Amino acid sequence: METINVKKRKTQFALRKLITPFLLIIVVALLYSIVVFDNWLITLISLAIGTGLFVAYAKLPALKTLITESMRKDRILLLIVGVLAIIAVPLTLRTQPYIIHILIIAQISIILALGLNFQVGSTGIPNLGYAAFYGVGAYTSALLSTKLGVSFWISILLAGCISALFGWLVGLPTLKTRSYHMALVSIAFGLVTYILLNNIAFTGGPNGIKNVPPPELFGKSLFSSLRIFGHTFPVQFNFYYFVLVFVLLAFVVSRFIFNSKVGLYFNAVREDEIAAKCSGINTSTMKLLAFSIGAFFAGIAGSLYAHYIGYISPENFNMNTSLQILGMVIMGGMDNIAGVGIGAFILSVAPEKFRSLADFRMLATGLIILLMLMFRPSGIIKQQIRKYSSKYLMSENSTQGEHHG
Amino acid sequence: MAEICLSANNLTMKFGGLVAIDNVSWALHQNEILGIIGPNGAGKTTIFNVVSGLYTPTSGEIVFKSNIINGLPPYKIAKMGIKRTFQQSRLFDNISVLDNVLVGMATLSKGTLVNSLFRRKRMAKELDENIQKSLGILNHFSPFLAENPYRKAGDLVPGERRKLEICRALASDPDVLLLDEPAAGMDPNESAELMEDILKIRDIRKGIGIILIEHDMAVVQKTADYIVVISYGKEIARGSFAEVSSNPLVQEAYLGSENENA
Repeated sequence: METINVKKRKTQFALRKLITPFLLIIVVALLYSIVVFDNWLITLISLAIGTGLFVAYAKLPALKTLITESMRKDRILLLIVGVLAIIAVPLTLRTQPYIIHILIIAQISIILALGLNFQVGSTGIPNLGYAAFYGVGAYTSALLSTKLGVSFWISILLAGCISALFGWLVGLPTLKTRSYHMALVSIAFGLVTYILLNNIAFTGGPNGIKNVPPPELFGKSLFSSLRIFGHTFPVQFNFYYFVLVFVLLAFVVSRFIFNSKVGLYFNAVREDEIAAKCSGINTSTMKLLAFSIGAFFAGIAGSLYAHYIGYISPENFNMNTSLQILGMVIMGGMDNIAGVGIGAFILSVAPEKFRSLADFRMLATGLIILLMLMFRPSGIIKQQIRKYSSKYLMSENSTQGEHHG
Repeated sequence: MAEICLSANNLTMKFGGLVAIDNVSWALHQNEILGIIGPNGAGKTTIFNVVSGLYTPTSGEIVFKSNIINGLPPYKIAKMGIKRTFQQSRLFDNISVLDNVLVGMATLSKGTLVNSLFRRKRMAKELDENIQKSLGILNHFSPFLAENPYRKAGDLVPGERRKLEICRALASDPDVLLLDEPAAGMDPNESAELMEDILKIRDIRKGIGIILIEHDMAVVQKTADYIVVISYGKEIARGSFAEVSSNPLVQEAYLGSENENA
């Protein structure tokens, strides 16, 4: 009897060990077939399988705990494989620069979504004009480098700072307005910025700004193709890794803020402003801070976009863009950094992959958001309860854990 | 008698033509529980809103540790050491029990952005201390809360919510605690427990002054040292519970005069 039990436990143990690698293979294969293969049938089938898996995960509690647990255990393995995969993907795409291009846009979207998450997710201030900050960053950076010949590194920093200043200015009315009113104020700001960019001669009007120089690294322009071992890599290859550094930085900074007191105070403002005030939180400062940080992220993203594409026009920063980024945050999971990242990735890649559906592609994207909101309104990864690794809390730590979609 | 820690002198609050508080004065001593009672709409909660900085009084002054504090923003008043609870308990529902108490400690440290980005070691150490303290406070009032620090505050039953709100207010060691109808909607058992809790506050934080707004006369009788009765914004009586409850004006305000009832 004893031996049988032990045997059973051993096989179970072995099975459990296999779950993470198995999951990893499925996820990587799915992602690869969705993102890389340019065939709408494969995309659709993979999407269906992915959705099926996700639904099963969400609906079957036994499966959920199993996966969550094994993922917790193999955290480090997952992280290593994830990082390796992210680094290795472009190597396999030497002949498909367009796909690397999609990935770069996805990376920029992730930075944007992480920034917006501070306002919409953490602090609970609706913002429907976020693209304005993105535009301010992009135009600042482009104008500085085309008109004044300022180097990329200085102009990206200034783009972030000026955008943050704008965020602070837009944040001022939020101190007086709330919910719907704030949404209206943000729409107005987005429209005003768009119209200004369109009508001021200095910014090139509707023609935008052309020939924004690419960033330079160690005296070499990022627009020169790399040659390694006799293979020529497309320029997108350089940019992929370049932007990746910024994405990682954005993740780290977001995480630091999220886990800090500032992140907690943001949440307090979102939950109940009056109670937050009476607990001793300067809610005005917190709201302005949320706006400024979010706008700073947007400014950096805008600058990266301008210098990558080399051409910007007001059309890149209209209401549509604002709504798209908002969709990423809501779909990914408000106030959850990993979720927002995933949401941004999906919603920036999906429209590109549905290009083969021609006129129906935005419809397909809309359908994704609609289904998501119907069946999982809390987003791909729900907002999590903060866990602390304090020695006074050790006993509780083992029961629940974070899970990644 | 002990030192006065918080007092209101000729406090008046008008909303347009409506006089919510009319020339009311009171003083709260250290280690005292001051009960402010009165029928519905008497202006009790308005007094709290004025003291905690949500409203600026029309005239009169509020003095805390010999500083006039009217017109200061709520967060500054909280920082000085006046904390409150709310009539409909206002917890941060979507964050955990522990986080609620940690927010209550906001006044203790400078949780600035720079610190949280670049002085992470120091902040981690502080956080650890704060967690230990939070669990201690929670344990005083409800072992259940201390054992479930990761439970969402929104999932708690009303009794626990009230306790958590008191814990949040006490987290920063305030000198004055304002309790706004803590027994509202409680059954006799729960309010008995609440009375113990209120008396417990004084053991935990020596010298704290508590102002209690209450409807439940049993709670006021057991806990309050001194009572001010207001009706339609005006003070109508003050004194100990026995003195106040035998006052015909108070009886009239609560039960209506005989003419009205007829």
